[in-house]
Amino acid sequence: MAKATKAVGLFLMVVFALAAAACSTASAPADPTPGAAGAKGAASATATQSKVSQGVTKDTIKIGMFGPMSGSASVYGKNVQAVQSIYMDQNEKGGINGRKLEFVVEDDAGDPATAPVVFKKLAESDKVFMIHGGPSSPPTLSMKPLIEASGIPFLFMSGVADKVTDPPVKNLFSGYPASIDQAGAVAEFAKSIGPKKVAVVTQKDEWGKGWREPFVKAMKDYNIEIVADEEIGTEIGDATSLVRIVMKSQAEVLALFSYPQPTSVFLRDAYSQGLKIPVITGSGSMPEDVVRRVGQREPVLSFFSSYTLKYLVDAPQYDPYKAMVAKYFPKLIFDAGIMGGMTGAMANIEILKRMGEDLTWDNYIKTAEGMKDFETPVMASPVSFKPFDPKDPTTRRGVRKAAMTVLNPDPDPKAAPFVVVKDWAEYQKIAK
Amino acid sequence: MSDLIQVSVSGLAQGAIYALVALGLTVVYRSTTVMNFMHSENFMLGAFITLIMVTIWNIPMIIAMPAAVLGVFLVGFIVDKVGFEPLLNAPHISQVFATIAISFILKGVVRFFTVDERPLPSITGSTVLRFGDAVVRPQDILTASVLIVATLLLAFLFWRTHIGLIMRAGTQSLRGCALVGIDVKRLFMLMWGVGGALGAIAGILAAPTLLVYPDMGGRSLMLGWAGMTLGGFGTFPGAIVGGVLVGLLEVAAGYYVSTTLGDVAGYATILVVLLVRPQGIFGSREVS
Repeated sequence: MAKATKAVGLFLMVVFALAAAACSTASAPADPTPGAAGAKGAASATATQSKVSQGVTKDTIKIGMFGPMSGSASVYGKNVQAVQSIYMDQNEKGGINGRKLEFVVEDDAGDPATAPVVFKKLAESDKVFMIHGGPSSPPTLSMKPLIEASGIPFLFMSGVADKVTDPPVKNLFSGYPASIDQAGAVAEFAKSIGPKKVAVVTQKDEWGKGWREPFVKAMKDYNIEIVADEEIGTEIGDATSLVRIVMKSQAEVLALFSYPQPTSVFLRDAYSQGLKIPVITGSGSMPEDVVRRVGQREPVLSFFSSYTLKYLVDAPQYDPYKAMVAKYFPKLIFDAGIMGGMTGAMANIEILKRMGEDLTWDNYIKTAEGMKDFETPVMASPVSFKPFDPKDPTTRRGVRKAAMTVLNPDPDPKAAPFVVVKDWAEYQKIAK
Repeated sequence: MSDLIQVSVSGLAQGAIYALVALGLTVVYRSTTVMNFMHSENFMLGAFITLIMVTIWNIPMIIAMPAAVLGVFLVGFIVDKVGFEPLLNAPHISQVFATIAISFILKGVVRFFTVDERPLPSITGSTVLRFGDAVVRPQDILTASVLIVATLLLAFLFWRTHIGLIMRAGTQSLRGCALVGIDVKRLFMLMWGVGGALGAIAGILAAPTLLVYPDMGGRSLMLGWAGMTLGGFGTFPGAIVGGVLVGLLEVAAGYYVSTTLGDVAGYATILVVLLVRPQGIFGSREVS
């Protein structure tokens, strides 16, 4: 009996250890410069010679991918699956110059502490050729020193934090508009409403800061007073305090930069408390997704979100992509939120094609830098990179335009679920 | 004044959830002395089972909710059989680690099926009640009512029934229970079931607000711990009062002091109480 007890105890301890390793968050050491010291040796080698391409065989090119497949940011993990479907479709078309794409997908749980472990696994253990990942910004920021030190080509999927590309790193490219670019569109829209007072509520992490800082700067440039500047958690059960603070501030517009869960709770509580001002946000939460979460249209009718796509999500131009996603990931709901990384995937395929047989890291960087005005059907903006300039982050930001989207005021189920508007006047015409 | 009323109403509603979580933790702790780290999964499973019944099997909420509670009650039996009973004579730390392992396993299983956040409609609908400037959601009234009913039922169970007498005996002396022929293993199984059911009730009531997703229970577990610590570890009145106070503190600190502080108020409570009055409000200081 005692032996059986010990065996069961040992078994459970092992299960715990394995589960902790698979799902580790707090257990990962919080190293402020994760791995930089150890990777410097490798960096010296890569700085002076072309690295022999790891992750490439005569038949395959291995791509590492990661995202928050679990945790509070898991809604962004769907971007990884949407991107995978683009690559899988390319494989069905014959791959890239005769080579099929192979993937290794890891879960960073949206946790910066886990991210360096994920990076090392992909780059050093799985030895991928390049990494296309990071729908959520904080883990990528945490990885940035390792990315730079390793030299491995890295395509930032659909995160927005400016600090990922500022200061720029030679081998780190972004395939999605940074918050500084999108925040410009958000600030322009706020200005078009004509407020004298604006409130700002920001998620308390690097992602939130990435939105807040350029927005606040723009408001100051426009001489619009910020009458409340508060924080919101990444996961909340009640937003009463925040709603009341915003109401007390008498703000005429609210800029709310948070993930979908806190956004939904806030909008629900704001509606029930009677807060009736336009709420604007970046690309963290899309109106149709928020309506699904809140369960009602009314709290979301005055919610405006930054929009980077070329067409409305139900446009016929996106039918092939809907079919693609449905084929490979039938449970994935096709909405504007999952499409963020698709343009980057298409650009990546084009870069790999243009590289021909010279599949080295140096050639990836050189080929990417030569990409100019590469149009895709997905994003409003074409993809363009430039030769590296350590003082110019835009050399690594491939996509830079955005508009705003809002729920279609027309409740007819046959009408488009949301509309794209450039300014408040355009919205007023639609809303009448 | 209306702000004070609104903050109080919202704080009480949040606190009622934390109190239910704390009650479930206390039931298990009182009987087994185990800090049950898989209680967040009781919370999550209650919500998920309800969600599946309502949205996929089209079972009315009024039937789905108690069915889900019963389901998690039975999960508690399984947790006891698989995780706790085999380790009855093992060091305490092994028992605690077992609850952590079970938590990861259950969360992993649910994540295999979905990581999405899904809405669970409120049984009370979306209309709100207004009292002057204060807004009260019927869901919050339901939560507070359930807390009161759960408290009364537990009190009745523990102090007015034979099984409750056995449970109280078990919390005082397991050896004594065994000596008089009480089946201690069955007692534990029942406690794990009751603890699970209380967690499930909290999860079902919180789900319309939090949304349903695999990681939904973690934050409420920590704040349930905070409530237990504040109220007095292992005391039922302490769990209720402590949980409610943590909810009030969270909302009030967020409004009157800083929104940043509101988020950490519950966790700060654990630290402050342990430093200043480690036995909590209703606990008694141990004599060494």
